[in-house]
Amino acid sequence: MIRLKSVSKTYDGSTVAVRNVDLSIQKGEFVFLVGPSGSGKSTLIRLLLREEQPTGGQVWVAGRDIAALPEWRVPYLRRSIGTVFQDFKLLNSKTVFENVAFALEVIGRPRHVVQSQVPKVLKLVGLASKTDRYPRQLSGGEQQRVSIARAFVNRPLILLADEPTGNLDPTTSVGIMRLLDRINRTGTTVLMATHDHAIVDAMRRRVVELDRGAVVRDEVRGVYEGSPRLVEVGSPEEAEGI
Amino acid sequence: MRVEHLVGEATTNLRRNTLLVVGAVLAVFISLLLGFLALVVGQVARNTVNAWGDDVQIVAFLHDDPGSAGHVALQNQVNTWDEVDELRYVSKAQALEEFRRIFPRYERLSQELTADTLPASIRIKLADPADHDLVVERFEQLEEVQRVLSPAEIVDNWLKLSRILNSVMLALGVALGISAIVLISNTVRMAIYARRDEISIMKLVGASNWFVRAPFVVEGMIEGLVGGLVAVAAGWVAYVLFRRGLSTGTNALGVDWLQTELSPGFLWGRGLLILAFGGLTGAIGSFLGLRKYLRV
Repeated sequence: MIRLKSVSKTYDGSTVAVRNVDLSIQKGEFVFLVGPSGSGKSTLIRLLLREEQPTGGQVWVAGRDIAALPEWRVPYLRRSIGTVFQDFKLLNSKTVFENVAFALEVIGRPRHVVQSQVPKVLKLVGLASKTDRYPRQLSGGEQQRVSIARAFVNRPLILLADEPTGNLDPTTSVGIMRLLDRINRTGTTVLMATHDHAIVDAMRRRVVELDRGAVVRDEVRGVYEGSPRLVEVGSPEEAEGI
Repeated sequence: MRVEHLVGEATTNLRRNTLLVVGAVLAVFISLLLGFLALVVGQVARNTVNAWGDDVQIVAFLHDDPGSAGHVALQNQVNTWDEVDELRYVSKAQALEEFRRIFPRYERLSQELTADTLPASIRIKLADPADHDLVVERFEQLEEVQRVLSPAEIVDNWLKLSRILNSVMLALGVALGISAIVLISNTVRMAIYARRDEISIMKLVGASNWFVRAPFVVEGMIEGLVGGLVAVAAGWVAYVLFRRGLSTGTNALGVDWLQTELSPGFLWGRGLLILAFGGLTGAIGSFLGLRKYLRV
């Protein structure tokens, strides 16, 4: 589903964000991407969305070499990928329903599809009773559920989540993880970048660790702390984005 | 993509930045008004010249001394010139009559005039307007001729003036057209800025590039078309008022020989052309705005 071969990304010719990464993720896998701030997690996600082009190597997503994708095909690539962010990225002027419907409308789905799909996915994320609320009227966890609903409403093959629990308290985070797990069980490949030790340790899924842009660990049923040299618990990067 | 969606988004953009939009539309309006007027003035000049081309006249005012016998001899002499197509002799009495006919307003003045006041004249129509200068020169050498008057010179001067006027209007129109494009690209830029969150989400969920861009292009084109429409309307009104002014105060303005009559077909045609230019200006402006500020 996702394959990176000797992928490098260098900014301004000198800053190396991703260094010679080889990674292969099968359909239906759930993968945690861990590592300190600046280790290249977000760059990797941007490469998969083709928001960035690699300076070296090749990236395949859903069987396509995305570096070779012509510009006008990029939106179609993105339709097969759902994305969830730490800051939710909801439109405050639209209701819950409209926020989710927006994702279908802008890719030209007919009205009856929107009318039937949006309630279904809102029920899936547990917000069936709050369709007419505005994001401001919701808790952080509920907002993140809306953003997951928006990412999933088009039934993407892949769900990319960049620190989805970064702004949430532990209890709420568990709820979000259950939701992502459910989505994964529908066959959707999930790649989640995170700093959340507790979650990674509890889920016991595949863990890929990045350090200074390179893959330093890839374990099938891993935990957050892979080796003794990563001892800083509650390290400063926990504060990232606050 | 639905049309109602496009127009709806575009008008939302337009409403958000009223002041900026009004500025852009005004720039389009003034630029295209100048363009439209340049087209009208150019056509009036062409029509006028064509009308003169049909019968370029030279008027030679004669001294009284030779008497009517001398005038007849002179007519015969001029008639032998190859360049002359038609010749008409206007006696002093006929001249007075003509004056009274052309200038009915100056009734009191014409009462004062006697048949002796105005000179007799020979008026000729040239076989070929190109011989104009030659014939004028030949007249000037005749001692019976007091003064040679050739309306063609007036036309010539007026043509020069209209050409200058035309160039100035076109230059101003182009300069303002460029500023209109810049202003439109600015309104599009502001609209993009106002919607940056929406746009980033649209891109994230895979909206096609055209889906994201089209409302902004429509916005720019609406600005251009509205500016063009107002310009054509204002130009048309100005033209009609000018003609009305001519028909009431004709001789006072001294331009009664202008061929200001333009066919509705010409006006409609050029009006549509100007409108198309407005749309084009808007499209170019929004493309510039998009290119610079919206990389999809």
